[in-house]
Amino acid sequence: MIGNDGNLLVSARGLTKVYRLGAIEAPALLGVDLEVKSGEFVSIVGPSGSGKTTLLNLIGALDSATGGELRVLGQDLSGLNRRERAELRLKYLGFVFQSYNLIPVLTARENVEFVLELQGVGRERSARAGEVLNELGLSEFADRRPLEMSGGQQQRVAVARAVASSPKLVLADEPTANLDGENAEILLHMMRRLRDEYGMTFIFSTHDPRVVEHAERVITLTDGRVAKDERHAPA
Amino acid sequence: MRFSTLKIAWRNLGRNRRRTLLGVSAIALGQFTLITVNGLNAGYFESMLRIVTGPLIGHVQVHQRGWREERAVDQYIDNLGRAESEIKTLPEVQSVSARIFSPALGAAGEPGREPAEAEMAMVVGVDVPVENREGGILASLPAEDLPGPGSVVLGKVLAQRLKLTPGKTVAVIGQDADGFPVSNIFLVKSLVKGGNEIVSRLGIVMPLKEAQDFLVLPDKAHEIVILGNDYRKAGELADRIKSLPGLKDAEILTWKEAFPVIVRMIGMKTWTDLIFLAILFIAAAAGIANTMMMSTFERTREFGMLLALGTRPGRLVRMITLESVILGLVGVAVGSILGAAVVYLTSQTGIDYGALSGIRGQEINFQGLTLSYIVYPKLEFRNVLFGVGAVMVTAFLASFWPAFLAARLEPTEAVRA
Repeated sequence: MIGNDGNLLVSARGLTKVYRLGAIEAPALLGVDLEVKSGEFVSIVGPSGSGKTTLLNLIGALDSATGGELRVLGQDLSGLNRRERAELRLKYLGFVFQSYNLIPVLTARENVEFVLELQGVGRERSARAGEVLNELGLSEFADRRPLEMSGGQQQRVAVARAVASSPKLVLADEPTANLDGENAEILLHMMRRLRDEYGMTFIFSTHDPRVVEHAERVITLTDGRVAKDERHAPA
Repeated sequence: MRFSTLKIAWRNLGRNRRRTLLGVSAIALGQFTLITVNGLNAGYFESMLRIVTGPLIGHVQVHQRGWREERAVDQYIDNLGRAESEIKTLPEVQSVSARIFSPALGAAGEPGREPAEAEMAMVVGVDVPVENREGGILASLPAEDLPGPGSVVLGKVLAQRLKLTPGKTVAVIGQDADGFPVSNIFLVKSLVKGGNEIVSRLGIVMPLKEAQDFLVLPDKAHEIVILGNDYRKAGELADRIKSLPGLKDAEILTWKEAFPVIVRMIGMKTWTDLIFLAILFIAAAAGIANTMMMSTFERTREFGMLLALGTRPGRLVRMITLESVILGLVGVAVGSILGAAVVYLTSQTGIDYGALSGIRGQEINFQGLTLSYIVYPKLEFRNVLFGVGAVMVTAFLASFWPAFLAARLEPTEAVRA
């Protein structure tokens, strides 16, 4: 699955996405060129409507591009059908959403277990879910349902779920948007630690300066194009 | 079916308990109605069936052709002994009972100053041991109250009219088969109020031999009532009886032919069952469809998230369908338990329709039969199963549309919803 260049996880060339609503066309991405290598901690920033979430959705095989080429883990996404894209997401990608991340009727442990079950992990999934939660300092929440946790705690459990199967790439759409400063810091430190210890690659879409501070690479989108692609030392 | 799918489906029902309760209640009410109404019908029609297929009517009846229309004394079956013997040779025959019916006048047999007031009556000659069994004309009487030589049992209504009580005598005036007047005085042994309206209103019931002697009908009777092994095989039994040489000229009727109106009424039960099954379908469909549609629309983002994680649409379909089926099963279980409990309790106590309708008395006369106003409902397990089946089918159908919509969601749009 990994492409020719073992380090290259995402490769986009002239990537475009145009939304069509009847006769109206709304371009979201207009020729994005991008490469993300394994182990990077990337933040995609830009004003609202700049195409951040669209780019993340395309990389996450949640949506299809209308033009250009996009390879994720060496796989040309344009050639994948709905089922194959779901398979790719399930096996190699992890997702953290802005809100409503967890299945409300399941406990934190069961939420993590659910993804492992989807991946075909057998009876050991409960123990493995417990290990992941413990590893991330969340064992005290293991038996709580989402409504019994704060927003920050829920997001941390969502990260635990996203990384439980050791995905190559974790995509996070505005993960700190609903969190206060303290919880945002805890979450970002957790993700940094996962990158450092397990070599996972993280790509965020955000306009939260706290996230940007933690990123090693910041890609700025403006009007559907990459305006800046900068590397800097994280805070 | 994965365990988590079941777990999620089950717990989802607890998310909006009021809505789930409404859905469950609608289904439970439907199933409860189906079981109780069908239980009442089953009890009512079964008692009716028991009467028309019991010793009173029998599975097959034999008469001389035309007797049922005219009921004349001389329209008898001759060579009764031979006919009975031939019928008894058939292996499926359980009992054979001959009867004589002859119009007469009855009057108090006590001497008095005033002329006795006569009432129209009917001499009924019966095979006493056979009629004393459950369902027979004399079923309710103890041995010491049964009619014997020189004694009779009077129908209760006739006895009231004649102001006669057991121990008194009744004078009976009739005609023999040749039209000559006959009369005698009999001791009233007891009164009877059976399932036969003629007996109750007009009956002067005596042993068959006594009636044959009184009406000069040796080795003759007007009716032979035959009980076979199974009332459902009455047609086959009738065909075999028709082939007997001693009865080749007789009219041989099954219970269905003898009481077609009652058979049609019993047949109505199937339609009643179907109507209430349809009501259950509608109640279940409304309850489940409403709950599932609301629940699915509220969870669009959740479904989007599940799809984004890699959940296959088929699994969402199974999850929603299972939720619908669980909702249906819980409702149908509640309805079944409550319905079965009510049917069981009332089957012990009976339901007095007469009292509920403000009618005095406990019996109604219909088609010459005396039927009780008191109904003992009967739980028909098949109706419980029909209800469960109906709800399951409805659950699948009602979940189809929401499941279809959820499976077609685009994760990116659904997550933003």
